[in-house]
Amino acid sequence: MILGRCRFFNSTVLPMVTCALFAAIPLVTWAFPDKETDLGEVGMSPVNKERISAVSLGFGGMNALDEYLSPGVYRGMAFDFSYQTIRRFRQADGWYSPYFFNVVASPMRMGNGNGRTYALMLDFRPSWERLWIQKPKFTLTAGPGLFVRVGGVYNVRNSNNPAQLKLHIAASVSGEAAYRLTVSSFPIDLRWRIDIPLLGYNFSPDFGLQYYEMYYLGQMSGASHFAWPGNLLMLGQRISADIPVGGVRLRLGYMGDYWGYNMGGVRCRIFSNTFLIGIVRRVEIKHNGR
Amino acid sequence: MRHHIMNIKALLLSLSVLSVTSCIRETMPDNTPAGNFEALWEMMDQRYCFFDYKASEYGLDWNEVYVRYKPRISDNMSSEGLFEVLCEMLSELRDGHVNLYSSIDVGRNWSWYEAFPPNFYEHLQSNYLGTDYRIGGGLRYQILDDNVGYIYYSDFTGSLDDSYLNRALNYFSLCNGLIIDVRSNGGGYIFNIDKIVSRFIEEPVLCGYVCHKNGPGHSDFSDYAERWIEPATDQLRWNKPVAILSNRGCYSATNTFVSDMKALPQVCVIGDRTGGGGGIPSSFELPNGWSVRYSACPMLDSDRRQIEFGVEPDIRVDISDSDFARGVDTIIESARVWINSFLSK
Repeated sequence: MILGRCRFFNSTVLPMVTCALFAAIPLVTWAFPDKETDLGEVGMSPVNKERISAVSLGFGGMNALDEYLSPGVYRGMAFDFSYQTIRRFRQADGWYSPYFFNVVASPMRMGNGNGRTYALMLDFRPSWERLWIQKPKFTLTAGPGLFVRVGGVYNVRNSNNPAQLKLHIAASVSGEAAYRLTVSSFPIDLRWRIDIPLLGYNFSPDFGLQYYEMYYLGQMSGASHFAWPGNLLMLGQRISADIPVGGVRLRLGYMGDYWGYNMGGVRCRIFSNTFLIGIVRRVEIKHNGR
Repeated sequence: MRHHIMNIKALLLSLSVLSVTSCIRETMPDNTPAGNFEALWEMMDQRYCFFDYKASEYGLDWNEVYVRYKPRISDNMSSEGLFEVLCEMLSELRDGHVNLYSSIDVGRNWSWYEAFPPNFYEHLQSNYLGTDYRIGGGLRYQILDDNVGYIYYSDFTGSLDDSYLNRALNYFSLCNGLIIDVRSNGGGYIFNIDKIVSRFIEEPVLCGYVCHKNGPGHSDFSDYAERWIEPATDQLRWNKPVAILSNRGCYSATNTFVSDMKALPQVCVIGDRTGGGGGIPSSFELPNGWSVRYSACPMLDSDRRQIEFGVEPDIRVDISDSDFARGVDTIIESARVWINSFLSK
């Protein structure tokens, strides 16, 4: 709720800072060279026949402006569930195949409090990432991926066009920087992950295009758009700390999603910021990669 | 060095592409009387679909409306006062699909039927329906004395299942003709139109056109999309004469239904001109949370004529005072006469 109203979290400043910092990582590591080591020893990434999975719940805020439904901004609490897993790519050394599944839901209200909107988004983000930097306490992976978002936004007060289907499928780039921090002999893995969809498809009805025309007369051409960074920008980032507590590793973190597009005379932006808590598990892969 | 350049390029690219989302900011004015007035005027200016048509019909000038109403807005005016001024401004559009919803009231313009004779009285209708009429799917129906079927359909908002239509048409299978009375039906789901019309055609029929605004200018419209209705080939259909009864209370989906049926050869529209409502409505909100409904998409008849101000009947009939006094519905009687004359041709 607090995040939903905070200007910093709901402007482009945060994603810009994020991209700038992530892009600067190679510069920093180039400036401070260190000897290479094996990831298995570090233990931040999965070794062969092993995968690292994390399940987490999140709570925070969402901020949405969808001009197809309303010219006003809606804000509210956001709840999410996410599942993330990563394992080594068997066919190629130095490659990893993480994927991320996330569901976020938010009941929102207009600033004046008398309009309601509900949002539900499902994301699936598999990627294939190469290990680019490998140091004793630091790793950086990055590579191509797929971004799939399916969801909807429902405005309670609208009569003939009450909801907006969200469908975004795109080729993306993903990356993760991980650093092992040791506090009183306890290894804490700090992870920073970003996903940026680049080229693909986005469903967004043009200005004025009505449900009746789309779904009854079949005029769908005005709702399908080629998405590229000139008309759609999305940045998903997760910053987390995996902390050993007893026999398990607890994940605490932050997840931010900044999604905006300007297509067919309709502008839409949905920002969500949530705090995460979850559990991380290392699982041995026994048969056929399962 | 080469690594340096690559990294700097990546950084600049990241920063430049993010400038696109920086454009996506709320453009809604402040929640003040002036802000709400500006938001309403501008949103209607960009989204309402009948400015050009109404300028030609009765000289509507939306810019002149702004100049006339703006001086009535002040910072210290009450919500009730603001609501009254905004409703008055919207009434300049003479559109029953334009409403302002607030906790104070629902702003409306119902002049499309309030200013005309009702031409429909339930106590007169009950003389024809009796008490043993059938009910199904929102239809109330009866067979009249001269073996003419009579259906009263009062509302397009309910779900009209095929089974109800089959049941009704089967009930009328031995009748000479059919009267479909949609008087004072204020509209509802547009999808119900096709369900009914499809029972009265033998081949696909081009019933009309629809387009939408594709930009903020008053003349920014998409190409017309054709509205075809397919016959309900796997359902019971009717090919005998049909009289559609209309009055000024026929609005929105009912208006379109009358327009569609009027284009069919065995159909005659009898009664008063329909009330209109030829635009598909949509909604937006003002900074203070009031909701506005407006006509977003014009629907045209099969000859590409506007139906926003109603559909003229084939036979114009009003309920006469003498018939009213005798408990006779002049419009139903005219329909019975037309069906019998159609059969005798």
